[in-house]
Amino acid sequence: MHIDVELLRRLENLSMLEISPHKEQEILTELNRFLDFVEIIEELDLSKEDFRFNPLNGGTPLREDTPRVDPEISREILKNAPRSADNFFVVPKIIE
Amino acid sequence: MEFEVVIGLEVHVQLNTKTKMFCSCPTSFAQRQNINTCPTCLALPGALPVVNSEAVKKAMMFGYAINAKINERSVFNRKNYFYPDLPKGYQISQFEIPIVENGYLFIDTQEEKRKIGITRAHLEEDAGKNIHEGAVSKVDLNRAGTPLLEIVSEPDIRSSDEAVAYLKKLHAIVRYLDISDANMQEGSFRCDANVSIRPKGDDRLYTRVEIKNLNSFRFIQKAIDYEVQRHIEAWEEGVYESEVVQETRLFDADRGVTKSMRGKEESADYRYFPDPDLLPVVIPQEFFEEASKIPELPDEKEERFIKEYGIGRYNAALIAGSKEMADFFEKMLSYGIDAKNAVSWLTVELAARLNKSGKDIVDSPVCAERLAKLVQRIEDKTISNKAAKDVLDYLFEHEAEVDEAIEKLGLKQISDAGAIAAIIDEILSANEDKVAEYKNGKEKLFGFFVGQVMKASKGKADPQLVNRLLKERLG
Repeated sequence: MHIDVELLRRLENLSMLEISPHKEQEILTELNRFLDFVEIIEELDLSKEDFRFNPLNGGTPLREDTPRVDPEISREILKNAPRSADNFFVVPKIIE
Repeated sequence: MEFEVVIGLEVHVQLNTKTKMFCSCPTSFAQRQNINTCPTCLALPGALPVVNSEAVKKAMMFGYAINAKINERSVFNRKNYFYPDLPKGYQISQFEIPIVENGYLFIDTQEEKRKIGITRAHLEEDAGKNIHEGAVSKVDLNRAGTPLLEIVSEPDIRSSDEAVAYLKKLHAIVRYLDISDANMQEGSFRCDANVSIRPKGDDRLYTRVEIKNLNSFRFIQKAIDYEVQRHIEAWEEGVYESEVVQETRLFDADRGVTKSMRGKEESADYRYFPDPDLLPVVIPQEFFEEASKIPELPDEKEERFIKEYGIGRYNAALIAGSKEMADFFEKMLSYGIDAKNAVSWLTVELAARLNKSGKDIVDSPVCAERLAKLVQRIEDKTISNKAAKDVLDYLFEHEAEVDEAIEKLGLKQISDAGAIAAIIDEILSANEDKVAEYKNGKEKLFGFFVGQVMKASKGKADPQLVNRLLKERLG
């Protein structure tokens, strides 16, 4: 797999990030190096493996349905948010 | 050309667990914004999701109810997209292996019972809520992480009527199982519709359009009808290819039209992959036993009502179609009243009054016990059928026991033959000319005498007794 400028634009769009033109080449090189590294895994022959294969045995732990709430947590987090008002997180307007 | 409509429905049901899907935050009504949140549902680094066992059981119960395959092993995936109401930047959902697949249910159409396939039902988490205000958007994440069951039908539905029938059946099943409040206005039962058309006889599936934002049965019907008409017109005018494209449209309830959401399409690339934070869900054996014990469902209840109480299919389906209505009905019957009387006082008299005041059966000012008592008072001839309607009107407006209301309104029926005979004699002697006409063969006048007696008794005389005594006297 290779990331070209077109794919990079699409990724920018999907991730809502903007890469300034002078950084474009550098980022492309880096992303492609990541991919090359990960591609080592392609050397494994997985044709006989079930796609549901998981290296760990057993399932995910399950939790009892017992509520627990600590109002201090949300207060603390709201306090640290870049912007908040009336207990809401406030973000730039997201619809036209 | 004749067309066939092809509809598939996606329904999101909010499960009524006490806590969220992946953390212990309560799902109950919150006193303030963002109070029911924690590092997990706020996506703080290092916080890990842990699956709610109750949500798993509720999803399984649904699987049993629709005769589906329940996957002992299912997988959670990340569905990636960016929106402020989704703090992680992805929704945890299920993709390749949902917890429930290949089920079905039956809907009642005019002619027959039709089987509608259910492709899958998978567990996922809800997003938060955004409020757009001036130059900003405000985000409340109390709802973020609430467990959802997304139920996807096969494209087996052929009209907007069938779509509504399917949704009503699904709604009833979910309520019977008590796995969700399924309140459409409050958004705990939400529907998206995939709609396409094709020439009759053609098996292919043509371009489908997804309609979102459908929060009442009426809107669903209108939105589908509008969309089908749009497709047919485009086809007939030769602009189907350009006008009907695969896209998401929003229903505008005020104008009764669907509108394109173009622009969002490009971002609909969710890049699903198995969530590395969660191992596959492996359902413990004991869950299968527990979840398979599901209550009686609407179809079974309908059949039982017909067999056990001898009521007609239409009424049986009407009552069994709503858990609240069926509970009300069975509560009434527990007071030993006749089933047919219970049916008519529930589905005609009470229903009409509820409808008129815009109330639902659960908010009925007259409870099942009182309505049953009222029917009892008709059955034991304390009041006439007509008087009972006045009593019901009174009970609808006032908090009172049935006997109290009868007393207060002075509607106690006169079943004393002596008292009625006295009234009859009075009427007959005051109308001697009419008596003579009657005896000369003008039998229509019998109704006049009944009416006069009833009027003189202020409607309280037992009509059957009046009839009998009048016949005796008029020979």
